[in-house]
Order: sequence, then C-alpha cells, then structure tokens
Amino acid sequence: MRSMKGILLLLVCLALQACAVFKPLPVATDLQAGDAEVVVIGKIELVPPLNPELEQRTHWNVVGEKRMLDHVFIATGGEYRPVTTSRHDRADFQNTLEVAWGAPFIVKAPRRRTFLNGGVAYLNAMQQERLWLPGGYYFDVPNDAAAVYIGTLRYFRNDFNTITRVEIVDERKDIASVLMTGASSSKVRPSLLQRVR
Amino acid sequence: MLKRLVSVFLVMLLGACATGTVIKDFTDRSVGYGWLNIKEVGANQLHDVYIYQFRPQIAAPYYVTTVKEFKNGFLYYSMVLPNGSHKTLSASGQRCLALLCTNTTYKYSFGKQGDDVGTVVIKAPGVYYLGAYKLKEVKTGFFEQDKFEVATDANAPSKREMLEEILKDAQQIPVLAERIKRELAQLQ
Repeated sequence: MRSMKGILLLLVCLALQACAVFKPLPVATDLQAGDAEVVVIGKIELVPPLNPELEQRTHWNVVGEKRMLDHVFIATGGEYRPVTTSRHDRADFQNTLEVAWGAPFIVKAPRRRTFLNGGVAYLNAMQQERLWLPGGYYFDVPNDAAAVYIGTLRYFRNDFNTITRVEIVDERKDIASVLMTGASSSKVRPSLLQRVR
Repeated sequence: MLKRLVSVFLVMLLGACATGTVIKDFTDRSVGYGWLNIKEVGANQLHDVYIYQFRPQIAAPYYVTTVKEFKNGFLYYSMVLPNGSHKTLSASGQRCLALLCTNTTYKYSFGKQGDDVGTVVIKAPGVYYLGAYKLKEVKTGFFEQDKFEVATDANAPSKREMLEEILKDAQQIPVLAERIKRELAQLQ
C-alpha cells in the first residue's frame, strides 16, 4: 500500500513537472527593477499570424493547454546557445520570454547582455505539434538604464511554416501601451535586438 | 427511456461514420502520389498515410490516402487534392508476420513545419509527385522517444511505374484517368 502511494506521488510529481517546462521571466508592472534586473519591453510577431481556429487543436483533457497555445516561448540566456529543435530540452527554457503573439510585453530580465536562443509555439499540445523559431539575437543593457526597448522581433513563414525571414522593427509606440502606471516612455532606453555575428 | 438513449447513441454513431465529404466532381481536384520505403524502421506494414492541406486553411485539412504495398515499399496517393499547399504529414503502421501483427502502432510524423519532405503547391488541377523517401530509425537513449530520419530513396520505383499502378484505380473517374494518361505521355 505504501509503495502504491509512493508510485502515485511520483506520478503526480512527474505530471506537475510536465507543466513546468518553461520558467518564464517575471512580468513587470512598472519601470522599477532590482539591482540585478532590467525591465524589457518589446513584441514578437508571426507573419502571417497563426489562425487559432484552423491551425491549432484544443483538447478538453490537456492541463495548461490554453497557456501553451496562446503564447510563444522564447528561450533567453546569458550566452548564445541555440535551442535544440529535435526535442524539447527543458534546460533551454529556464529564462523564457513567454508572451502573446503580436502584443507588446514588459518583463524583468537579468541585467546583462541577453541572447534570444530560439523559440517554440504550439499547434497541438497533446500531439506536441510545434513550430520552432530561430534565435541568434541579443540585446545589451546600457549601464544607467532601468528599462530597455528591444523592438519587434518579426518572423515570416511560408505556406509550410518554414521561417523564411526575420526582421527587427523599431515600433517605439508600443512602449506607451505597456506602461500602465503613467511612467514616462522617456525613461526607457532603446536597445534594439542585434543579430549574433 | 432506455430505448430513446439507445436510439440517440445509434444516431450519433452513424453520424460519426458519415463525416467524410463525398466528392463526385473531380474536375478541380488533383492526384498527389508518393512512395515510402520503411525497411529500416519498426513497422513493416503501413495502414495509413495522411496528406495535410496548409493553404488555403480549412476546417478539415487531413486527406486519407490509398496505401498499397508496391515494389519494396508503399505507394500512397490521393485523387481529391484541391488547389493549395499540401504535405505528406504522417504514416502509421505495424510490424506483421503473415496475418499476425504486434499490438504496437508506429507513427512516423513528418511535422507541420518544413517544406523539405513530401510537399507540393498545386496551382492547377493535375498530377503531382510528392517524392519517394526512405525512413530510417535513429538510435536514441533509453528514456527518449523513438526517432527516425528521412532521405530521398534512389532505388524507388519510377514515376511511370507508380502512375501505371494508380491508373488502375482511376479508371472509374475519366477526368483523372485522362490526366494520369497525359502525365504518363509526358514522362516518355
């Protein structure tokens, strides 16, 4: 009986662990960040955008499915280490920029040169059907900046979901749309994403 | 009460069987065909191969194909592909010895991202080749999911051989039979 309980506990732990594949960067509410942090503002887009009704499949019995289908997950880190696309490696996603497609985001990230190492979006959480997005971009944090604007990372896809082009677009109007507390956009320093050479 | 429940259940069951669209007019449809060599993977019999329609996006984008054992591999084809972007999405099968099969179903998914395997963009009704591929098992760790890789198979039957086989089934649909004959003529 005791061993049965142990097995059940182990199974529950494994199931919960499956939901914790991504460790997201915390969402910021204003331009205040700790000494070791910086507020980051930007946006991730896919062109043409995903059509949730026709391209994504939902299942009533998949825990956390809405989160997986509604977001794009970009792996970030202090060094350039492209994500493994042949399988989902949890180690890649320990500082994940988890955001809604096409909506400006505001998050807190470690205060350092930060690399975007690639990302993933889900078409079907149960079947683990994913779209992989290339990385190879980084942003710097100027010494005196409490917040940085990194631009829009825009992915273009062809009919077969191959990413054919990536653009970084300066859309600074997005800064004001995420500053809820009346903080001034002028306190946000532009530090647009750069391609890793 | 029980009778009513049973009849509702039967109606639902029959409804489930009748979800496929019956196509009677093939003038705007195309034939898509390909061939798979599965000698180096777990399955040795294929039950189904699906083609997926990426564009235009529709509510029912999966096309079941006819699958036939053919020349040391499996020929698959659909005669109902509309204009658009299509890809061979997956193949499923079992390992069998004569009539006895194991209870493991092997599924080989080519994924919904990428245009390197089994894709075609159909702009006008016709006959389209999706390619001939060899599937090969890739060694993985004990706790890792099985994987396979795909490569073009140089020893595949010719397009002519495949089309001649498909033509046998297309005789009932004159518009498609005519297109296949025309394609065969162009192969000479």
